[in-house]
Amino acid sequence: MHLSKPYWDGNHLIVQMVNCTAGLLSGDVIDISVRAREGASGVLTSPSAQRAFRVLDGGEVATVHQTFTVEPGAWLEVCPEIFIPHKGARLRQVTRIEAAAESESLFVESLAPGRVGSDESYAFSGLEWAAEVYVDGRLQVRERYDLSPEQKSIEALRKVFPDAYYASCYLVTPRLGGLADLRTVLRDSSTTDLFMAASVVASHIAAIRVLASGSIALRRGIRTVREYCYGALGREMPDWRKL
Amino acid sequence: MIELEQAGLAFLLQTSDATFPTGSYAHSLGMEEMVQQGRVRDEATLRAFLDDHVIPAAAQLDLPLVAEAHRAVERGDLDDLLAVDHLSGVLRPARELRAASLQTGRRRLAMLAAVSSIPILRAYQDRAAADPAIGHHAAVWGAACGALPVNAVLTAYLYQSLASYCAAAPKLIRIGQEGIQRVLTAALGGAMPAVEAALMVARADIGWFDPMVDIASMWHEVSDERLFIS
Repeated sequence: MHLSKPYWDGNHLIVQMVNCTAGLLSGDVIDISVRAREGASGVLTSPSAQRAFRVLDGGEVATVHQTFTVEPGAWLEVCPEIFIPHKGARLRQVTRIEAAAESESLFVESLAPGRVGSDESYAFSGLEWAAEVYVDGRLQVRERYDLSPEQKSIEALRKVFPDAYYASCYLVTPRLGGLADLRTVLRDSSTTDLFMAASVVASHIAAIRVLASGSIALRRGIRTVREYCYGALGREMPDWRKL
Repeated sequence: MIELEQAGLAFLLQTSDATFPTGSYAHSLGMEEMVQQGRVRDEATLRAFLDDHVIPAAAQLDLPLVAEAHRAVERGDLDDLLAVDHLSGVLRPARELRAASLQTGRRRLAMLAAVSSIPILRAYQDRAAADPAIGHHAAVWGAACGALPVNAVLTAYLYQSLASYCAAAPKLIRIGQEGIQRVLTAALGGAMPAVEAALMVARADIGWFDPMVDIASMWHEVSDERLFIS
């Protein structure tokens, strides 16, 4: 992995992280551990889409383990560019978010159906996805799914959008009570090609779902979510300095 | 083939019957919003909703949780049962789905504890009485049926789950009693492999991906018109 030289935009320390190879290959193991210390304000993103490549029969699955720890009084946004699993890709990703009750954070993960422009839509072999959110050491949310294109969940999704793009987000803050319009803003900002929804699923945690017919609509949805969260929390939007 | 003693069969019939008070009649678990969106609108689309969303979720989420709770009770392990109970909650990504699981589970547990003398069930109820976050439906179901064959326990859970959607449907779409029974018969016919599949799911792998139902449930929270709690 390559980390950019961190950039302070006046409000947040912005760090770009990128895989040195073109993407994840069979047998790759990536272990990421990020800690936002007390009072810190950080943004972790990536300059371009992340990819996973075909794994041949009998080949080892690529694995990503990532842990994000947010200490009291810290702000951390994790918003990498979209993940694109190529045809035949197999990947296991495990994400663990450990937030202090007095911290704030926004996590965004987005998934493309594949290289749609190359007629690869839901042609990956398998994605094992797990994410857990802990607040003060207590597990509050767990996502776990094993996606393969022939599964009912993908089949049902493709009845709505044949090339469905998806993002899962978690906003962690003790100030959720003051964000009363989060759910209606996202619902009312939804369009025929973009569905957005939020739910305060546990103390300090809002789960957000974004489903789109294409990459442009998904990008619009993620921007809406980020702008809402930064605005509602009274934080300045970071300057990513991406080209 | 499931072998079940007469008393066990009677217990399953009693506790999965609509007269057993759990309040599940007040929940649609996201289906009401799917109706609002026009995705469930008649017999064919109700059947598709059960096939595409409800049965797969049962196979990968609810039934494995029931099985895990059943195993915990077989071992007499209350702490593990409580761990399964907690997992039953945190795996639900929308507040109404989580609350529905808790409301129906806690009512079922309280009633079971009132009519049962099984020590672990009483201990489970004591813990739930002290902690409002304890008592999720799948875990309670598995715990209550700890003495019965697991296949029968999962089959009964699956039946009551499908039946509750079918009971809610006539309030939401134009469908007659005959249509409901056709849907339920067809769904049950195709659902039984879910029981076997559920028994193969390791605890660490329990979970399901269904953004359409997640979004429907989240939108239902802020819906201006609604008949159901969830």
